[in-house]
Amino acid sequence: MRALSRERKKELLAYCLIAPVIIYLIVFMLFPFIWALWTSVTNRTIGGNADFVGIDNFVTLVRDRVFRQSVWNTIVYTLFAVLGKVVLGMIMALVLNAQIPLKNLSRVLLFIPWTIPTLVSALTWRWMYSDVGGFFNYILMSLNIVNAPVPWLYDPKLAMVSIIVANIWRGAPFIAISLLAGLQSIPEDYYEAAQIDGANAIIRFLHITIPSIKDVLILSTLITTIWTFNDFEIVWLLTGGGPGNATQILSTYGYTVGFMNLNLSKAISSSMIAMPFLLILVTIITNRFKKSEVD
Amino acid sequence: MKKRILALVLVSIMALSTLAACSKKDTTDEPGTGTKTPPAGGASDGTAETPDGQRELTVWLQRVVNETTNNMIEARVRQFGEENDVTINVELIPYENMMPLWTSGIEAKTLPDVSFMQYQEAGRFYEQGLLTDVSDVIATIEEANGPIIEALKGPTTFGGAQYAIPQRFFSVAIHYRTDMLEAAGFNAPPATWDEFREIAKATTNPSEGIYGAGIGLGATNSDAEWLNQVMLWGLGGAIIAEDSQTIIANSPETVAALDYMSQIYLEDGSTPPSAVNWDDAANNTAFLTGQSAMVGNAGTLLAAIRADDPELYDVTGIAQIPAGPAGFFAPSAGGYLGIFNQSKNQELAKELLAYLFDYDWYKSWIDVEVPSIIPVFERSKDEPEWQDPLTRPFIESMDGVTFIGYPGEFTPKAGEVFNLKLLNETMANIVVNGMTPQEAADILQEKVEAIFNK
Amino acid sequence: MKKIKLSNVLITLLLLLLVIVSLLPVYWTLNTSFKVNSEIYNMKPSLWPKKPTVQSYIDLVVKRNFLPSLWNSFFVSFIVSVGSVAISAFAGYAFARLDFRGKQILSNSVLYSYLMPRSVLFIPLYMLVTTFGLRDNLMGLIVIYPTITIPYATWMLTSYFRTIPLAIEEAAEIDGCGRIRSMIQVVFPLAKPGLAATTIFAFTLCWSEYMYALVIITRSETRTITLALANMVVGDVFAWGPMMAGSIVATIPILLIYMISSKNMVSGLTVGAVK
Repeated sequence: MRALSRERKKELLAYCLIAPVIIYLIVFMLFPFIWALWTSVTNRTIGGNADFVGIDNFVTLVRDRVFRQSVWNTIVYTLFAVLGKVVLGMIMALVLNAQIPLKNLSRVLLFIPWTIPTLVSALTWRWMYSDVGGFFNYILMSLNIVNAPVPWLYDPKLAMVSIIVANIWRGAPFIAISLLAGLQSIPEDYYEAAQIDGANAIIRFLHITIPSIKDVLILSTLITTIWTFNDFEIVWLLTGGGPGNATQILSTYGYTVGFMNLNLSKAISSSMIAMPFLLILVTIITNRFKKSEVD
Repeated sequence: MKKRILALVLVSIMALSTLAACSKKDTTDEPGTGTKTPPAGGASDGTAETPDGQRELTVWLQRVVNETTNNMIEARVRQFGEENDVTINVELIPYENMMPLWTSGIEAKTLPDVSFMQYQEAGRFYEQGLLTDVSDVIATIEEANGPIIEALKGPTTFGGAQYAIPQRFFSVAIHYRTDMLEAAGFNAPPATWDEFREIAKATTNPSEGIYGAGIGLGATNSDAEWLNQVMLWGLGGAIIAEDSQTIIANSPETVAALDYMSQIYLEDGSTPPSAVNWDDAANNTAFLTGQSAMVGNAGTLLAAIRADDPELYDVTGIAQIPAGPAGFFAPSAGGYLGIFNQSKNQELAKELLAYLFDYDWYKSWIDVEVPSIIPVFERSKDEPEWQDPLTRPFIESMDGVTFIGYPGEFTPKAGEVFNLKLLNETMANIVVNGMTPQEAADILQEKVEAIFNK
Repeated sequence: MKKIKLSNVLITLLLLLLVIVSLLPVYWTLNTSFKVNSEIYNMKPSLWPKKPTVQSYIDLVVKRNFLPSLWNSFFVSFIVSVGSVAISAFAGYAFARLDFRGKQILSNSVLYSYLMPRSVLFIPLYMLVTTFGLRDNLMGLIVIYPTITIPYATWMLTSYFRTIPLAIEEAAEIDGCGRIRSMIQVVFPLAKPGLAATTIFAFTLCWSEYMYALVIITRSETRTITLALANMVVGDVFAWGPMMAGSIVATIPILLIYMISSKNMVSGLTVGAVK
């Protein structure tokens, strides 16, 4: 009896604690979500009336070659950018957690890419990639590594690589600092004990470091994935989706359709179409997360 | 225990309500914000007066590169407010940022009283029934200043009435390097596209990274879309036929023109390799850095050279865009001013528009940016500022100003085709993706038809 | 002994490499911000300014009145990051430590709300802000920026809280602490590095947000830094000098905050010692 009431109390406490977050999200996210869901099944243009058209928008989208290409591009972009950010971020975190000179300064310096407003850093990258007056081509040509400018942003394949690199550069510090906070809560004596047992660096990394920061790692990866998936500014400012749609991703596609062309419902549909897949992805990952809790 | 929970909940509620209270307070404090309740509302969404009875106007103007011009027009609007006892909310916003602003303004019914727009948007806004008839303002202005160039009024005239007033135009001309052309044996700029190609080839020197033709393509590049469009017209091609309805994007003439245009990239190799994905600023950069001998651009480029690079200025020449067998065509990019009919202060808004066209002030404002900005009055051509060889071609280009949709009328659908930069895409399909001009034209035809059949 | 030294050298070299990669675009930004315009546009870029000038910075402050927007951004980012981390911390604690019905679905839906891109969400959120009468008002941004920070902060903090050994909290409870007291006095202090990191990131998310600010703010008095910077991207000739100077100036406050708070992140080192 007493235990039950304790459980109740705990539950009540939990609801009180999460209430502000949930209420806020209901007000500010549920309404937009319902609005978007409704708009995606109408033929609404900006400022126009809305008639219910069912799944027409989705059918049109799937038939659109450019849309299909954007889906593929989005997958490639997200996959490689996230992979790059996680690997680079992990390396950064480990280095920052090691015995290094000027520890605090290094930590600040590696953090800088994340602090520059994307608007400007994207334009800076575009310029550095430029064939005239661009830093990379100037260096490569001065060192006689190449004798013609590398087409960073205007070769269809290379353009994708270039925007991924810019995205990794900007996003890696997020992973790094998140992991660093996790790394620092690993008690020193775990490592000492392992070292005494004769475990080498790799074994220590796999058996102590990774399990201890697994949660933070999974989570920061998941959040980065969502951010990367919805990234707009870097792609828009670096290539605008070109050349010839080679870097068109869902967010730039939606923006072009919706706001250059005022086709609101189609634009919204193009971002809603990805929702089920993202929902599944998030659910799978968060369920794993829950499992690790049970362990 | 329970007390603690209670305290916690109370604290959260208090925090939230403070936030809400703050925001409420701010609403009543600031007349510029819009609400649905009359007493606190802004002029833009329903009410004409602030709580203390002051009349109010919200004005969105185009921010351009030149800060002096921006400051002058902002001061002018504020002066109108002072003289007429009107509260003014004036903002200068880059055109690039306008789309999301207009979009959300339309959706939430929070549009300003007066806004700049290009004729492409004016057409859409008119179709959506958002604009006020300003024919009477134009009549007043023309009575005082003489006629506005007739052609400029065309695309914002619907059913005999005018829905936006042309305010200033950005004419495009070829900027060329006199020294590079002379070194290649040419004493005059190209007058036709054939000459353009010839000079471009002669001035190209890939080993030094110099390319004669500073023209490009790009998914977001409106400069490039314009140059492609006028080239297509000059070469006898078109996307939309004279009846403003039939799509002729894969007609033999158009395919031939596309073929001709793509040869500049593929056969002549006289464009920089990066040109296939240029943005609006890239052709400027190409000229400013010396990468290109000839680029087509508005006078903003000449102004930048004059301000920052005297050496380059000495070897810069200006010429009209080359003509083709079908004639001379110039892009039509210009700013118009319109009044949204949600405005409750329409008469006041009209007075403001007339005030911005007071000739002496108007001229002093335009003169700051000769030749980047072209005045809209017939008489301006005779003003001394436009007699210089570096400025004359800009104002003379106005004779060839052609609106989207040519040889048909400008229609919002045609505007949509332009906004999607479909010509850039078509050219990219040929130049980057290796399609034949016919294949690319067929895709273009299909896409444009889809827009027209919607 | 030798072995340790070698690995230290390697790590230092690696660090150097990382720093170089991170700072390359920053160096380019700095370099450009001290150049005159004719030097900025050059086929062969100069690797350091030949005629260094601070004109861009003067322009930025005097002509373009950049400083008020710094304050606006700071004001919004500070309130939103601290506020949303505060309420997310409570929720995060509940998700990490307490069992209750609907926990899984509730915690998941916090993330689900994160899936829609801003390039679409701005329309409904703008309408919402307009209905509240908060257009052209920093309060409008303060009200909607938590949509960017709360889902992230809630989940991050949940995971940080879970790295804190349960035993510590149980010990506190045995000592007679209530749940709430052990949360505030034991768990939160131990999670300080996580709290600090989350706040910093929430702060920078608001600091560099552009899309929402663009539609909600039009008046120049309420402009945030991203809007001020975007105003330099006009037409086809960008104001590269002031824009680069602006991004340097905009970065400094964040770095200062980060430096100050990185002390807090270090204090997490004592976690193990508490046992």
